[in-house]
Amino acid sequence: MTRRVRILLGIHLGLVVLLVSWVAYWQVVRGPELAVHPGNPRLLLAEERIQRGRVLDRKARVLAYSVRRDGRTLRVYPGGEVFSHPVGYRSLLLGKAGLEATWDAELLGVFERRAWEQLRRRGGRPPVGLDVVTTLDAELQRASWEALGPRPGAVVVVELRTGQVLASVSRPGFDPNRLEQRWAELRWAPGSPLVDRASSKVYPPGRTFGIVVLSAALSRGLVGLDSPVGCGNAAAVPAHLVREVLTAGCTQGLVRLGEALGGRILREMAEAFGLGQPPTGDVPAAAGQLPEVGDQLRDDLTHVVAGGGRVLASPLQMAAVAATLGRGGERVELRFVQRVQHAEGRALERTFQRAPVRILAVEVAQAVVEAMRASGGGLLAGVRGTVRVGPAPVGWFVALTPTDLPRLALAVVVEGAGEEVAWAVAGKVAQATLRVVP
Amino acid sequence: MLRRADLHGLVLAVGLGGVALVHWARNPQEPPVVLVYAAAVLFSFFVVDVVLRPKETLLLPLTGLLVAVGLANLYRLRPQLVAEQAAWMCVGLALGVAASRSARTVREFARVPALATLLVAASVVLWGGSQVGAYPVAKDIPSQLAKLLAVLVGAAELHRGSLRGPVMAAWAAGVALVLLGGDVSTASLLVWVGIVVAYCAGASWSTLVPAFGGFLLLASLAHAGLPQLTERVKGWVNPWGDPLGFGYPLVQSLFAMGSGGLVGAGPGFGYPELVPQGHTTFALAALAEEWGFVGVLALLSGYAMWVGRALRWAVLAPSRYARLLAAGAVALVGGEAFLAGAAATGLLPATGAGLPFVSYGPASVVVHLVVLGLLLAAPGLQEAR
Repeated sequence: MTRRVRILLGIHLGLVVLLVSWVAYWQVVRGPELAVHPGNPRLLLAEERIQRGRVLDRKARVLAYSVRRDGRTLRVYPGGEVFSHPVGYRSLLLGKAGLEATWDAELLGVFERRAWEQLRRRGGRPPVGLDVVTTLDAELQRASWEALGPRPGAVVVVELRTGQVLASVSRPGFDPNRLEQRWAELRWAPGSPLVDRASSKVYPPGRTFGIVVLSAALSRGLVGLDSPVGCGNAAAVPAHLVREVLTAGCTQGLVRLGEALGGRILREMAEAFGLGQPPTGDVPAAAGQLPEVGDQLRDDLTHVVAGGGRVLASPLQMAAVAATLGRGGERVELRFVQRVQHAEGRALERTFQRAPVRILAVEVAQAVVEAMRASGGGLLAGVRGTVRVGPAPVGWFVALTPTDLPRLALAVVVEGAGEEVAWAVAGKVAQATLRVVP
Repeated sequence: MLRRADLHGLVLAVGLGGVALVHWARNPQEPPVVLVYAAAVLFSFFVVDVVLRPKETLLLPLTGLLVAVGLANLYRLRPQLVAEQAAWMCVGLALGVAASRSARTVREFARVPALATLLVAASVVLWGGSQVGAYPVAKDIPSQLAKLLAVLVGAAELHRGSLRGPVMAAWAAGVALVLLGGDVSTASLLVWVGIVVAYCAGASWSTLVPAFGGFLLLASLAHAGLPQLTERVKGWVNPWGDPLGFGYPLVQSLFAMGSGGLVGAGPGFGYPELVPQGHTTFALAALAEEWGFVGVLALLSGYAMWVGRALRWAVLAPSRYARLLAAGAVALVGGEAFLAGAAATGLLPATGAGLPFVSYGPASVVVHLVVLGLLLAAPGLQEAR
């Protein structure tokens, strides 16, 4: 009997080993794949269970928060359509956009979702995501929204010292609180309210591209601010100075400077300013477009400064260009987010910002700003431009404010109107910055 | 060497700790009444140990540990059933003590009458169908009873001699009836217990292999013929073929295990409620999600220890009857644990078996505790006359 019992023991232990290895296969070997399998309902359920973090402005005013109602999580956006870009939305049905999309992992707190950590910290209450503190200033955002008026367009305001985006407005917006009910209507609405014109839409920069041309010309020593330049078709009569080259009447002067520099140098300068690359990783941002080869840019320059051609840039990118000049030639990465913090306010991480890169000598940058003063007006030193997108005109204004000791960079785009309207909008925003930004 | 009290203290600490983790994660605002229930059950195990003073010192605390796992899982998934299950556990322990005390009497009784009862129970499984809430009373009680009787009849029949034709015929009829009733797990366990006990009693392979083969044939026929069993087999062969239909239970079970991974989501932080029958048949998958592979490994090691410890008495017990009783108990608990684990992991088609001592079920928990009581009596059962 002893031998038979031994065999029985062997059989039962064998069954246990078989079972253990079978479980190990499904849990450990296939586990990672099953955990994120599209048929596995857990990912969606986790979103419902976690109390998603808040989105705050720079003075801790709430731009988005979550409440539980009738067992469902409801996302509330107190800022409504004014902040619909760049805050975006989050919906179980429709997905995510804007800051809600790029900072999804932080808002859900997935970095800290280890159950034991949560258990220890929260005493068993449902997990809470992290708060995202943006660089936006709610008052300035609202003022910019008002300044833009009913026309489709965008306003971007950047703080020079830090590269932080204080306002990023895109009209028309949408009400993110009623997104699911109005989705079908919004998707096909004229004026595409779901597109963020500040960061995701690109336009030909027109004469505002002159900033790049002038910077290249001055940094190469091709000309000085007071060199003569021909602005008309009759090149023989140099009736103007280089400092006037950014004004409305001198488009031809920019073309002459550009042709003298050559395409490669122009393209290098444009790249150094950050054109052709997304200006930030904090929101979904378009990269814009530069011609592949410098010669194409040179050949295209007449069209580019006249408002066409193969260069495309978003308002956010042009604001970054102005900010580089305002900082004396140091290019800084734009940020929409200051830090990520726990709900009770303890900071988790300062977001990483790349070190500024010097692309222009200080004197050159100051000289370009000087030229911008000549083409600006009022509180603003800047460049205007009218371009065409299809049949409709689009007005640009890229500027620094205040004029003598700039603290902010601005980019304004207005669709269906010319540069004078864009300039007027920028003027109102500049007035508002005096009031709002200390 | 640890004393009895030390062992039970350890089990109490570990068991209450586990239940407390679940409580803290799920309902921290409510008073922790569940801890009182769990403590009462685990303390009862200690009381039984003191009352019976069994030679076997490890099995009671070990079973207490398994029971604590079961309470934690039940509290996680069906908190409203915990009080009832705890009460049945205490009833089971009391009956276990009674069975242990009267093991000698049971031996004399358990031949013809027990065999007759087994047949009656089996026939009730076939025709029974009434439910109380979600609990299939008229099917579950007789089928659990049949398992207990299988252990008793097996040991009683075989401890004096070899198999007799009429007993085998009655046994086969019982298995067939249960199988026709659709209860594959009970039928399998009746066969497994019978084969293991007969094997220990010295039956030759020429008897055992045809018996096992015959059962497999019968079970295949039942799976082909009974629609609810055909469904289970389809869900086992290719669960991904219809993940929302016949494959649903197994697919959900695999998702739960996969999401648990090596260390698990942590008690209270997974979604074991997505596993159908997570508190009964698929308890292993439900536990696997929150306690991880580590937890499953611990649980299955617990069963391995239980089996190993109980099998000692299949060698060391002073009488042949007691040795066969121990073998039968091992076959019942070990076989059932394997069936339940294999169903939850897709190793075998689902049979309806639950993890002994862990899964919810009043009749199941009472019967298994009675079997434990009988097992504890085995070391003291001298040869009759």
